[in-house]
Amino acid sequence: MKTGCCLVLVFLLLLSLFPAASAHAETGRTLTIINSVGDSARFEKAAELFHARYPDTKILQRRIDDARVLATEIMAGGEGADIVGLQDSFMTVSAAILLKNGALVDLNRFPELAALKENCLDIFGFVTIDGRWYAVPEEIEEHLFRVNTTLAEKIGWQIPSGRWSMDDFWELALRVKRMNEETEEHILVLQDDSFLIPYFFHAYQANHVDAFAGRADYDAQAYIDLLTRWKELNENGLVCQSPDRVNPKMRADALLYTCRCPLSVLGEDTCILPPCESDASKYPVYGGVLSINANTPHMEEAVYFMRCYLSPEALERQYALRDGCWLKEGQAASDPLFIETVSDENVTLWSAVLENSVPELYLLDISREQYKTLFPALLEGRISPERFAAVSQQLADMALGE
Amino acid sequence: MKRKTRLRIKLLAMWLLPASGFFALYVVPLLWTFRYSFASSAFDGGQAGFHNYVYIWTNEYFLLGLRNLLKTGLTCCLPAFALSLLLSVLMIRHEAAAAFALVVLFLPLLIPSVCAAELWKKVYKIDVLTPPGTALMALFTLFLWKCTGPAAIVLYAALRKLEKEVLEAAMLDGCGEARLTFGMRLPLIRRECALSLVLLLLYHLRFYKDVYLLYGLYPPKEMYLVQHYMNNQYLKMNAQYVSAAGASLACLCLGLFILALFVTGRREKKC
Amino acid sequence: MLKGRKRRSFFSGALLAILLMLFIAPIGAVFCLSLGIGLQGAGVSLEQYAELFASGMLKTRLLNSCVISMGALAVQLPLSLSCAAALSRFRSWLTRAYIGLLLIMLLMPFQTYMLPVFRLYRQYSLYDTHAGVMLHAAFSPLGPLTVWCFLRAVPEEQWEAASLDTSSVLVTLTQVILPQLLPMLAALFLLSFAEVWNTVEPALVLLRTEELKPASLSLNDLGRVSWAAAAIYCAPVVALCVPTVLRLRSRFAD
Repeated sequence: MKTGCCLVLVFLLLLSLFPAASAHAETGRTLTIINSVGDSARFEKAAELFHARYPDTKILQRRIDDARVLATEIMAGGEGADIVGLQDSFMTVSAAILLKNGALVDLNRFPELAALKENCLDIFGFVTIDGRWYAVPEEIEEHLFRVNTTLAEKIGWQIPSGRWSMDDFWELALRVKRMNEETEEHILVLQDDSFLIPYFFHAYQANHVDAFAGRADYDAQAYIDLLTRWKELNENGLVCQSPDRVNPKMRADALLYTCRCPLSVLGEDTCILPPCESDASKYPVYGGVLSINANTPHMEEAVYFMRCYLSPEALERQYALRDGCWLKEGQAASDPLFIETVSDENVTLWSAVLENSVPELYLLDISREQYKTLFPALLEGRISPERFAAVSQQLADMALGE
Repeated sequence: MKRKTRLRIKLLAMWLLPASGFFALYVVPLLWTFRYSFASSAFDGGQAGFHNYVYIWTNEYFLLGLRNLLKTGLTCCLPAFALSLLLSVLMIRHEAAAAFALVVLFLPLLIPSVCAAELWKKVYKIDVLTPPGTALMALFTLFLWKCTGPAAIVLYAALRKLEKEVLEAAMLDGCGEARLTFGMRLPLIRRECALSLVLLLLYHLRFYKDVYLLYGLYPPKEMYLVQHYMNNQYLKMNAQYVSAAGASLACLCLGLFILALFVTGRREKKC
Repeated sequence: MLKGRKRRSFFSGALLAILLMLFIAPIGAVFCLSLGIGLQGAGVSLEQYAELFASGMLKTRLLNSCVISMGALAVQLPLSLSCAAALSRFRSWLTRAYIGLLLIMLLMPFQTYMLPVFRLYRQYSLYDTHAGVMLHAAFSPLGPLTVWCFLRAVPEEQWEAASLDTSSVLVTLTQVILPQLLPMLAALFLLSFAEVWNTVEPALVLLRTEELKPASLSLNDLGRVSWAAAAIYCAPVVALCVPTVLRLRSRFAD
C-alpha cells in the first residue's frame, strides 16, 4: 500500500515536470531559414512575394553557430531547418561534403527555379559542383588585386589587362626585389589581407582540393614550390599583411593589394585579375549562399521562397553597393538603390571572375591550422615547406578518407 | 498469494518507473540508432542493408580510431586505477587529510574542460606540430588529473566500509602493508574495484571532449579515437555511419560483458 | 618497530601531500589566472570578475545549472536506489541482461543516439525545456549501476533478517540497508552532480533558448577562455562538496 502510494506520488511528480506545451510549438506553418546573412531589401522583397502566395506561412530566421546543433537540426528535419545559409569560411564542414552526402537539394530539379537563372549574369559557377546547383547566392566576395598605379609607373611595370600568370607574378617580384636592392626605397610587391591564409593558397586549394571527389594535392611539388617561393618573398620583405585585420588599408609602399571584399569596396580603384597558375585555373570566390535542406517537410514553400529570392523583383533590391547587380544589363537601372560608385572596368572584372569561378572551400579546419600554426612555423624557419605540405596532406587525408 | 510472488510484484513495481524512463530516453533511441545504421543516408529514406557496416569496418580511420581507443584505454585506465588505489590507501592511512584530499580529488572534474585544455596547451605547447610522444604525455597526464579522483573516491568509500577488526587481526598476524592491501583489502572490495574500472572506462570514453579541445577535429594519428570518427561523420551529416559505428561499439561492449559474465561465472562455480 | 612504522607513516604522508599538490596545482593556476597572475603584462586584478558580473548572462546560466543539477539528482537518487534494490533482490538472467544494458548505454557516446533523442524530444514537447535535460540526466544508467554495485556487497542475511520484522522491501531498504550505504551514496551524489553540472552535449542540442542554457555551455564555448568564469563555476560546487565530505567523515566516525 505504502509502496504503491510512493510510486504514484513520484509518477505524478514526474508528470508535473512535463510542460503543457512547448514554448516553441509553432501554430500554423513556418518556414525556418537558418544563418541567412541578414535582413536586406532583397530579403524583404522576397518575403513579400512569398507571402502573396503563402499568407499563412510565417518566415522565421534563426541563428545556429554550433556545428553539432546545425547538423542535428538538418538531419532531424521537421520544424527547424528548411533553408540553410552556408558560409564556408565559418563552417566546420564544407558545403561540397554536405552536397555529396545528400544534405542539400539539387536546385536543377525545379525547372521554374532554374529558369530564373536566365535573368542573371553567369554567376552560378561557384554554387555548382559536379553539375549540381546547390545554392542561391546571398553575398559574394572576391579577391581582385588593387594596383598602386604610381608605383607601377615608377618601376616600369605594364599593368596586365586580362588574365596573367603566376610566372608573370614571380618575375614582377624579382623585378621589385632588384629595384629594392638598387635604390633606398623599399617596395612591397603584395600586401595580402586574405582571410586566414594568403590568396595564392586559397587559389591552389580551390583548384587542387576537391572535397566532393575526395582528393587533395597538398603534397604535390607545385604546392611545395609555392610554399618555398612564398617563404622567399617573406624573407625578402616583399609581402606583408596589415596588422589591423578588421579594417585593413592598403599601404602606400605596396604595389599590389588583395583581400576578400565585396564589389562596392573597389570603387574607382585600379584593379586587375589575380594571377593564375595556368589557363585552366579558376578563381576562388567566397559566397554566403542559401540552400534547401533535403529533409525539409516544407519543400514546396522552400522552393517557392528561393524562386522569390532569385526573382528579378528581389534582385533589383540586391544591395548594389555591396555585391553588384546580378541581373543582366538593362535591368540594373531600375534598381532604386543603384548608385554608380564602382567603375565599369571593375564591374567587368568582377563579372569575369564570377564566370570563371569555383567555391572558396575550407576543408574543415585545415586552413585554420595552417593559419594558426603552420604558416608562422614556416616563416620562422621552424619547419620546411615539405613538412608543411606533409602535415596538410595528412590532415586532408583524414578529412577526406573518413 | 505466495510470499515469493508478492515480493516479486513489489520488486517489479520498484523497478518499473526507473526502467520506463531508462527505456524511453536511452534504449529506444539506441534501437532507432540500430535502425538508422541500415539506412542509405539521413536524407533519402532508402535502405543500404549492411553496406554501412562494411564501409566503416573497411575504413582505415574507423579501425585506427578503434585501435587507439583500446591502446589509450589500457595505457590511461590501468595507471589511473593504480593511482586511485594508491590515493585511497593513503587517505585511509591519513584520515586527518582525507576530507581535504576528497575535495581536491573531486575538483578536477568540475574545472571546465576548455580551461583545463588551455592550461595543458600552455604547459606542453600543443599544436599540430607537437611530437607524438609529447602529445601522448599531455593526454595521459590530463586523464590522470581529471579522472583519477572519482575512482579514488569510490575506492576510499569502499575501504572505509571494511571491518577494522579483520584488518587489525591480519596486522597482528604479521601482515605487512603490501600484503594487507593486495591480499586482504583488494579482494574484499573487488566489486568496487570493478566499479572504479568501469568509471575510468566511462571517463575514458567521454575523454574525447578534452582530446578535441587539445587537438581539434583531426589530431595526430596516435590520438585519433573512434569518437573523432563518429563526431566528424556526424558533422558531415552521415548519420548512417555514426549509427553503424555506434551499433558496432554497442555490440563490442555486449560481447565484452558476456565474456566477463562467463569468466566470473566460471570463477564462482570453482569456488 | 614503532620507529619503522613512524617512518613509513611519514613517507606515506609526504607521498600523499605531493600527489595532492600535483592535483591542486592546475586548480590553483585557474584561480591565479582569474586574478590576472601569469597573464602577459597583467598584475593582480579583478578585471575579469568585473567584466563577468557586468554581464548578467553568467548569473542566469549558473542558476540554470543549479536548477538542472538539483532537479536531476532529486529524481535520480531515489529512482536509482529503488531500481538497484529491485535488481539486487531479484536474481536471474533477466537482471544480468538489464545490467548489461545499463552498462552498454553508459559507455555509448552521446553522438550515437543524439539524433533519435532530439527527434523524440521534439515529438513529445520536451525540447527546449529544463525538464527534458533533467529527465535525461535523471534516468542516466550511472545511478542504478553504481547503487546496484554497492547493494551487491550487502549480505543476503541482512535482507532476510530484516524481512522477519517487516514485509516491506522499501522499509528494509530505507531503515536497514540505506544507513550502511550512506557514504557510497554520498560519493554517487558527488559524481552524478559533477556529471550533470558539466553536461554539454545534451544541453547544447536539447536547449534552444539562450535563457535556459546552463553555465557549462558558456564555459565550454570554444575560443573563449574565461578564467574568472571557471573559478566562479567551481565555487558553488566546492561549497556543496565540503559539507558533504565533512558529513561523510562524521558518518565514518560513527
